[in-house]
Amino acid sequence: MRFQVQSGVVNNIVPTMNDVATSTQVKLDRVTDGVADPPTEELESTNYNSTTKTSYIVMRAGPDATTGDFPSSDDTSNRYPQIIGGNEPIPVDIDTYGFVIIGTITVDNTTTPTALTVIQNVTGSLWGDRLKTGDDTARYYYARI
Amino acid sequence: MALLIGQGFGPSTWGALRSIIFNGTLSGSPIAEHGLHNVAYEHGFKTTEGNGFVRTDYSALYANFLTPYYGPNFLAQGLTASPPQSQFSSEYQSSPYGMILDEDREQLTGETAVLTSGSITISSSAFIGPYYQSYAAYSTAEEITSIGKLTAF
Repeated sequence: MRFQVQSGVVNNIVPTMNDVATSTQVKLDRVTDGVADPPTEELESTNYNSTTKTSYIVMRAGPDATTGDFPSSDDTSNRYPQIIGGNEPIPVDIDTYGFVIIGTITVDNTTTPTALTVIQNVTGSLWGDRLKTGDDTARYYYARI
Repeated sequence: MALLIGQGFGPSTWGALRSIIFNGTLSGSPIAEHGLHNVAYEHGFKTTEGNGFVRTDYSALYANFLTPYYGPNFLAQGLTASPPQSQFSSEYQSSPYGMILDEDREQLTGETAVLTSGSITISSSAFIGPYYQSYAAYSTAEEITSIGKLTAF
């Protein structure tokens, strides 16, 4: 099953998502020939929880390794905001980057879905902070705009 | 004057109105790393659970990163070795009223502060300058290990 994500920004940066057609990271606000052309990602049957048949769509972002700015504005870095589909279970935050759930997709059948339920946890742009105290893993906080 | 959250150098979420409690007994910058919307603290006090930040009207996180304990803070320092006398305080810094909010002072008053020279029970005078709270103990290297549910890191 394929899906797209409506474009928004986190700290004024547009995230990217894998485009299944080209297997490249594409910014969500891509425009082709004057028309919005967001990337399309695909979920495989293994991307769902076998019991709940739910898959998490998350955004991953981390601080720039050189400037310390959060998130990194280097779109070649794995710390640049990136939408990642097909997560199960939800990834765990580390100092390099953290995750925020932007939505879930639940299907009736993980192999041949015919009905689905979409829940959007994030419906707009975000402000985000990374705060770390001592040796504790960094914490990531987001606020809707 | 209003504080604008969301645009600026420091935290843009609720962190713009929070601060760690700085450890005034330690020298050096309390900041290990910082950048836009990113602060990592080298030392200070934090709760064993939760994030360890306290609400503040003064020097919120975004303004703290370059100035050690320029915000909510605790400091223990020896005054005289004989008779043993030291001072425990939460210094005012730039605020005429102190840097820790009244409701947090009320919660911290009565808590035990574990120091190099021993332990004391924090009194309300710890928040009132210029004399603060004095106690009959002395260490040449006085440090604060913990304050109630707050642990030094």
